[in-house]
Amino acid sequence: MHNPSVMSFTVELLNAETVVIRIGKALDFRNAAEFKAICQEQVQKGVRNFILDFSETGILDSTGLGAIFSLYRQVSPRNGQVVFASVSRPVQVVVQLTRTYKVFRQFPSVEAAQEALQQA
Amino acid sequence: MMKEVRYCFDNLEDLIDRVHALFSRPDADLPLPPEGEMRYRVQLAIHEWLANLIQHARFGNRRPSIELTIRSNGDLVECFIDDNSEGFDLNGRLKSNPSIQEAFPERGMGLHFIRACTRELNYVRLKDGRHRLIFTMAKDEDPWLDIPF
Repeated sequence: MHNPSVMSFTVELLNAETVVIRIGKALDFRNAAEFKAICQEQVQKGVRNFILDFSETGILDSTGLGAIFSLYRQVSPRNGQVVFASVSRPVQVVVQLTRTYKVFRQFPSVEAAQEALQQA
Repeated sequence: MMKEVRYCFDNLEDLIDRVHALFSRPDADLPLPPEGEMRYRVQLAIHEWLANLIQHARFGNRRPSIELTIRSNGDLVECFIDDNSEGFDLNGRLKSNPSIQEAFPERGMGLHFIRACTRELNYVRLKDGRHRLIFTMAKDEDPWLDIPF
């Protein structure tokens, strides 16, 4: 289901293996399929590290989290990582509820996430 | 002292945006602490139920009608979401699917989100034929949804 009121995602390629995806206002049942398609395209290009920037995000719902799980399932066998950056309060509530901080490392900024991935 | 607000919606297309706008608008006067965790958990539970209605509810030939009531004294929140759909077997669904079994599930977590967030959860048919989701939530709780990793 696509809803035009939900902003699209932007993708910034940092290097051949790492991208930043800026989530925008929402990652939920309305745009989760679009998110999965964008991620799939990047995985097919050889990207295995994803930095998800939640600085502007007011909604992360169960379907959105499921789409992130789907991405994790794809990249983890390739030693890839999915990490969260600039996590907003509404997103932090979902992370805390689901304890997904055990799986997805969190960083205060995209730059901090990028630095950590470079050192890995 | 309990404070109560009530909002009515009749368009599923912009329902989610309008409800989230209430939570970000200072003049909406929601009876919830402006920055507390509870505010975001209430918003999440409402979102998940509305997403369920939008995606799965059947309204027949009726124009959808959703009524949202939030009542709170600051420490405890009581929320009612009334709708004129044909209804949904929430209690049966939760009983037959009491926990998440699959690791990193892609779908089917919405009702579990709601149940985990809430202290009490019920779904009833009203005398006028509408259906009502009722939940309560308390401040200073740290709810946890067990997802196998």
